Amino acid sequence: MTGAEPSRRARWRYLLGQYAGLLVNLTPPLLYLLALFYAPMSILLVMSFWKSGYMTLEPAFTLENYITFFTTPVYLKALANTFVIATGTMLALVVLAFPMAYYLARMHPRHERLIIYLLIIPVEINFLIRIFAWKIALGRSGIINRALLSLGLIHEPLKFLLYSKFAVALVLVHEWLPYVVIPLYLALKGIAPEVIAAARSLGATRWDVFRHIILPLSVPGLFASFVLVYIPMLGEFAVPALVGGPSGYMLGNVIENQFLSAGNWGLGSAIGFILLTVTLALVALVVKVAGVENLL
Amino acid sequence: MRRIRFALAFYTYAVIGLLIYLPIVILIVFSFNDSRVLSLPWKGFTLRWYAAALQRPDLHKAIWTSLWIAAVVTVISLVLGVLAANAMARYRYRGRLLFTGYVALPFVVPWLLLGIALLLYFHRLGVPLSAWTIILSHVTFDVPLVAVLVAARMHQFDPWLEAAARDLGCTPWQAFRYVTLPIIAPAVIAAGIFAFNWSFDAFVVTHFVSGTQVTFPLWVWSALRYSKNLPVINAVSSVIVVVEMGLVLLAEVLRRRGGAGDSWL
Repeated sequence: MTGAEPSRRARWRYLLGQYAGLLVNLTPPLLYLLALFYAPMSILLVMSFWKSGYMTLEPAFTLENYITFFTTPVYLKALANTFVIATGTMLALVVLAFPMAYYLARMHPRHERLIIYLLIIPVEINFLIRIFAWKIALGRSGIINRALLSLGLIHEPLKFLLYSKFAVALVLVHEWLPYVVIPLYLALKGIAPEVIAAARSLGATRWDVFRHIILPLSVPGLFASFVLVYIPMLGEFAVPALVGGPSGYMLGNVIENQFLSAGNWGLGSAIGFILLTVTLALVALVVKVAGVENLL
Repeated sequence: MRRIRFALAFYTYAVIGLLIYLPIVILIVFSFNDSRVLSLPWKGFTLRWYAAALQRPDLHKAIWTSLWIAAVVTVISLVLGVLAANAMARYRYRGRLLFTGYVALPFVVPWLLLGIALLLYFHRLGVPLSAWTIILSHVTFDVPLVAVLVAARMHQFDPWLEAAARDLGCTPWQAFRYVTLPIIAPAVIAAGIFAFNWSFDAFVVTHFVSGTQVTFPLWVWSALRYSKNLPVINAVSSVIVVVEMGLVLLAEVLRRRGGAGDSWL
């Protein structure tokens, strides 16, 4: 670039340089994700319409896989189970997390940073290890049962602690709690103190403030945590496989089973695609209701 | 008011303690218990499970496999992720938001679906499953992670700094190397640590694309389901927990020093 008045040619050269730079940066990730994300996801969609049997898959269009899914009671039960567990866990998470987020954001605790670190650090610990840790705690002769027995609080081991919907929900709460507390905390932290002071000076009670200011303004945080938490829970399979037992069987287990044991890849793809459709529809719904700017 | 405050404080620490830390603490404590059964009563302190873990070649091989795969994945993901972040944050063009969505979409697809889609894809293309299919798959979910973390940092610095460098005669590469890179370095290092962690811990996607390769999470998975050597897993897990906590603290300190402020993942 030369002096204060760049010549037309210099400007062209600058713009050309900008475009070349953009292309150099944009092309490799674009192609990589095209080849290893968008193409595989498309194959999943296509193959869900292929004729499929045990270890066979032929390119002939059919709706059979979808029909099989919607007419087999076991699969429908797994679908229902998935929504029951994910929805129940999500509700429990919100109820558990709200007071924590409120405390962190509005009560100015002395250890605000520390508490947040305590929440986010375990997230990075290998998740299978954490499921294993729960198994040690929850088993029939596990630590919680032994402790309760020796304290005389119960007379025989609690059976529902492991291999049940309860166990799946408990481990999922453990896994996802930070992802609900932190978006809620950020939303509540963003409420200007003047708003609350104004409401109070106009005669609102503490309950009014909570009901008409704090609760509505926490909604964006709820949407964010919904996207972060509810959607991955729908695709869960490691937790139900390890602590769920037969009653905690979820859609993810059906899909895994079709691919790695039953060998019916077409059916597995169809179920996967149903899950993907539900997932993306939920994301689209949340984005539409909440607005993108509230999620970032 | 003070009573509510006290009750909420108590509640917050109790929930964090019971629901998040209790199992982890139990895991670590019982890795020192001198009993094959992972439960009460306490049979005395021992290090023998740690000693036993040291004598498991299959375990060492799995950890080594995970380490080198994660290292390769981190390098590739950092290159592609920083390029993507450049395109997301440093240029103004139509379609910028679209490109951002394109890069971020893998975030909202459940990993189970990514895993089966990649399995089908590799099978269809006739690519045999190996360490390389694991690497390709891990890069797919690490690139969006790096891109988002680094782009968040880039959004915060003055784009005129780089324009000034260009104006003073730098080539585009020099401007990037001597102006932009030093500014985004903490974010890049932090993103690298997170990317490494994600790859090292990745179970769901790896489960489908690994073939006969055994990474550390796959070793834990099969040990959890079939092995009688639970105390050994316990000892190994305790070591991994401590190492991972240390790494995360390091990443967090670097991110904070980089001035990324309160933008949580």
